Amino acid sequence: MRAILVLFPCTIGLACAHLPLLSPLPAEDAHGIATRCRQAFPVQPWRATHTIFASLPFGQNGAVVGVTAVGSGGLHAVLLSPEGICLFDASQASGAADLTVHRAVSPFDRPGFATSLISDVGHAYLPPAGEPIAIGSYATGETVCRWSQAGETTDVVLRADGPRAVRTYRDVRLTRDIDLLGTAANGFFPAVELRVPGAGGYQLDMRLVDHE
Amino acid sequence: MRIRIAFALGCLLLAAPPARGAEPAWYQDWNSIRRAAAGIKTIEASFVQTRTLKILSHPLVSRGIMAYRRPNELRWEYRSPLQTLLVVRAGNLRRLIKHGGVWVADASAKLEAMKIVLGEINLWLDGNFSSSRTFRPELRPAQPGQPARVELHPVDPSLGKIISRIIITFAERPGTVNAIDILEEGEGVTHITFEDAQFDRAIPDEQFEPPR
Repeated sequence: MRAILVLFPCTIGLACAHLPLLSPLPAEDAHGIATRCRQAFPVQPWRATHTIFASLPFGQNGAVVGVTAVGSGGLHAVLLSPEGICLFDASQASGAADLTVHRAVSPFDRPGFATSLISDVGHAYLPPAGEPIAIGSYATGETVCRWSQAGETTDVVLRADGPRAVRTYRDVRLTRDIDLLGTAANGFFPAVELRVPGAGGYQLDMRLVDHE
Repeated sequence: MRIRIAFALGCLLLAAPPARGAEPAWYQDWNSIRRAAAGIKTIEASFVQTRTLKILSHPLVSRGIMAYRRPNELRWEYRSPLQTLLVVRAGNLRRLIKHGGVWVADASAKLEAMKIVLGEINLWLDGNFSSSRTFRPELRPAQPGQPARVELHPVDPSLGKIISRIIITFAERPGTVNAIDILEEGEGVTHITFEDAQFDRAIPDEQFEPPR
C-alpha cells in the first residue's frame, strides 16, 4: 500500500512534467487560427466593469466590483465594495514592470496582492505579446495557439465556436486556468472564470456588467 | 469597516420623498432629530446607488432594497449588479453573497474593524449623532437651494484615509433623509437615494433573517 502511495504522486509528477503536447496543423491555417485566438481578448483601448466573486482558501469568499481600463497608457484597475467604497486602485504604465498602487485598504494591502491582481487581469484580458510560437492541437483535438515569453507559456484554446480557455504555465506548472463563457462581444465574454491551482489557490468568477 | 459604514448610514434614518407642507423644524437640533427618528417604527424602501470614477465615463449604478424595524433590525440588500445581503437582528449581523443561485457567507463580515461601526448603528438609528465615538457630526441648517444635512467626519485618522466625509441630507418628513453621500479621500463619491418608501407597515421577521 505504501508503495502505491509513493508511486501515485510520482506518476502525477511525471505526467505533469511537460507542457501539453501540440500536434502540428497545416501551416496555411496558422494565420487564421492566430487571428481567432486573439479574439479571446478585447480590442484595446477598452474600459469594463465586472462583478467578481472570489473563492479563497478556507471558505473565505468575497465579492467586489472590478473596474478596468486598458489603453496605450497602460492598465488601471479599481476594486469597489458593493457599497461603492474604493478598496484598491492601481495602475501600470505600458511596458513598465512596476505598479503604482494609489490605494489599498486592508486586506487588499497585503504583500503581493497588487502584483497578483494585475497579473490576473493581464492573463484574463490582455493578449500575449508578439506572435504565437506554435499552433497545433491537443490530444483532445482542441486547436491551440501557444505564446512563450520569459519562462511563461500561454495557451489559448479554440473550439468550434471560438476561444474558450486560456491556460498559463510557469515553466511546466499550470499557474492560471481561465474559462471563457458565453458569446463574446468585441472580445468581452459575459463570464470569465479564473482558477489559480495549488496551495493558496483561489478562483475568481467574473461577470461582465458593462464595457466600452 | 467602510462597508459597514455605508450600511449603517443606509439604515440610519432612511429615505423618503419630501412630504409637501411638512414642518421642517424637526432637524433644527440633535434633540429634535432624535425625537423625529423615534417616531418611525418601520421603513421599507428601494434605493439607487451611483458611484462615480474618473476611469468610467458613466457612473456605476447599483440597486437594492432595504427594510428597518425599530429598534435595531435591518435588511440591506443589493440586487444588482452584485447580489449581497446584510441582515442585522438582536445584535447579530450576517452578510451573504449570492453566487450560483445560492447565498454564501461573506468573509468580510468577519472584519474586526467593522464591529466598531456596528456599535454606532443604534445611535444612528435613533438619530443620535451627537453620541457617536466614530464620527464627529456637524449639523448644517438648510440654506436656499440646499436642504438641511448632517456631515459626519471620521474621528480616527485611519478611517479618514478611507472616508473623508459622509453627508446625510434630510427630507421634510420628520425622521427621514433624502440622500446619503459618501466622499472618499481623493476621487469618487457614492450617492444613495431612496425610492418608494413605506412607513410603519408590519414587516415579517423573515426579512431580518438569513435566507434558509
